[in-house]
Amino acid sequence: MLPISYWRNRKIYTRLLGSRCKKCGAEFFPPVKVCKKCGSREMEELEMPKTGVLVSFTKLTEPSYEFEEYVPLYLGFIRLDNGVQLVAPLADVVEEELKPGARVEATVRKWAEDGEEGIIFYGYKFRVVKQP
Amino acid sequence: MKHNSAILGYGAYVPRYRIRTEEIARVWQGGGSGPNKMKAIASQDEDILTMSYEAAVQALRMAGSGPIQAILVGSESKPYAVKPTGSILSDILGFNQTLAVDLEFACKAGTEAMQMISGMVSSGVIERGLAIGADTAQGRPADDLEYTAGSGAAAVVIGRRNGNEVARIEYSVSYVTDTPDFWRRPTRPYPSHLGRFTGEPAYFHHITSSVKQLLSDTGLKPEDFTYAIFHQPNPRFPVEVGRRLGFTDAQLRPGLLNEIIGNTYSANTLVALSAVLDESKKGDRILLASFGSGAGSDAFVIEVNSKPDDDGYIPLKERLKNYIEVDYSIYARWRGKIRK
Repeated sequence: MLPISYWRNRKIYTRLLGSRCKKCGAEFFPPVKVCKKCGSREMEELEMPKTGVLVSFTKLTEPSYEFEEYVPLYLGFIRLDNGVQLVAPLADVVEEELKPGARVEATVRKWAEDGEEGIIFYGYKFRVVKQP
Repeated sequence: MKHNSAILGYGAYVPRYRIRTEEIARVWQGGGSGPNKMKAIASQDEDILTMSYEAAVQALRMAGSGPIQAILVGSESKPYAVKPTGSILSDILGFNQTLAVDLEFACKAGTEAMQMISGMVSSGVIERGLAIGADTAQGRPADDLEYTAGSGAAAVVIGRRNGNEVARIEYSVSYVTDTPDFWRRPTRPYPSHLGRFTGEPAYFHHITSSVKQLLSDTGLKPEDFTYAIFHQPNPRFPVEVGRRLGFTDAQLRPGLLNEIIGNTYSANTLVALSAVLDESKKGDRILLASFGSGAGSDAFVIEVNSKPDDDGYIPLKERLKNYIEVDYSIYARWRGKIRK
C-alpha cells in the first residue's frame, strides 16, 4: 500500500465510510459512485454502522508480505446491522469465539507498517463482543 | 489553580491480554514474581493511537454530541517520533476543527492533558476538549520495570458545566523539579532508571508536595474525600503515600488496579479515575494525584455530580475480567523484543 493511496482512502479504512443512493436508499461499502441497485449516480457519503454479526471466517497463515508480522491473520465475513456485507480483519481472536451469528463491533487497529521508517497503516478490524 | 470545568464523559481501555509476572520471573530466573500479579499488554496490532481511540469512543459516547475543540494525547510511547497522534486520532474521530497535539511527561502526561483542557474550558477559550493518557510502556528485558510496565489508555471529555455533568474539576496543583529518577534518550527503545532512587526523592517527595499544597490551598482534609487516587507504579507505593498523607485504605482501594494490569504509565491515574467514577455517587469528592518521572505531580480535587447517561456502558472492572493470558514468547514477539 502506498502512503498517498492510503491517505485518499483513510476515511473508508478508519471510519467505514460508505455510500447511500439518494434515489433508492441502497447502502454500499466501500462507497460506489453509481448505485448497483438502481443505476442512479446520485450518491451520498454515509458512515456504516460499527456493529453486526459474524457470518463466517477464515484463517490465513501465508498472507502477503505486508501482513506477515500478524500471522495468523483472521478474516471475517460480516453482515453489518444495515445489511451491508464485508470481509474484514478480526482482532483479539479466540478461535472458539468465532461462531456464526456472534455479535461483532468495529474498532481501529494497525493493519501494517511500511518497515521501520515508513508510515503506519491503520484501519477497521472487528472483534467478537457477544456469543450467539 | 481554581477550575470551572466538568467531566462530561470518561473512558478507559485496557487491552485484553495479560502476562503473569511469575511467567516473566520464570524466564529471567528472577525469584517468585513481580510486585504485581499480572500486567496488561497491547496486542501486536495495538499502539497508543488504537488504544486512545477505544478510550475516546467510550468517553465521547458518554458525553453526547457536541464539538471537540482540543485533543491532547499524553504518552511516552508515541507511534511516530514526529507526526502527532492527536491529529491521526482527530481525523478518525471526525473532529478536524480542533487543536491536536501530543504531550510527554513520563507517567503524568495524561493528567497534564486534563489540566490543560480544563484550563482552556475554564477560561472560556473552548467549549469541550478531549484529554487522553495512553502508553504501551517499555521495560528492558529482565529489568525490574519489565514486571510492571503495562499498556492502557484513558480519555476524559472536559467541557463547560451544564448541571448534568459526571463530575466537576474544582482545583489543581502541579509540583515539578529536575530529578533524574527515570529517563529515556532519543532513539533508545528502553528507559533507564536509578532503582530505589525512584522512591523517596522522586515518587514520594513529589506526590506529598503536590497533595499538601492542594490541601493547604483548598482547606480540605483527607477525611473530606470519599476516594483518593495516587499514581500506581506498583501495588505498594500508592498505599504507602496515602497512609503518609492521612488517607485510609478504604479511600484508596476502589482505584487500585496495579496488581492486575500493571503500570499503564500516562494512562495510570486516569484509568483509576474511570474505576472510581464507575462506583461513585453524587456528592463524593475525589483526590487524584499523578506522578511523572523527571519529575512532577499533578493533584486534583474532583466532585462527583451524576451517574453517566449511557446505557451501553460496561464498568471497567467488569471488562477487566475478560482477559487472555499469554506466555513470555508471545509477549516478546508482540512487543518487539524478538523479531523475524
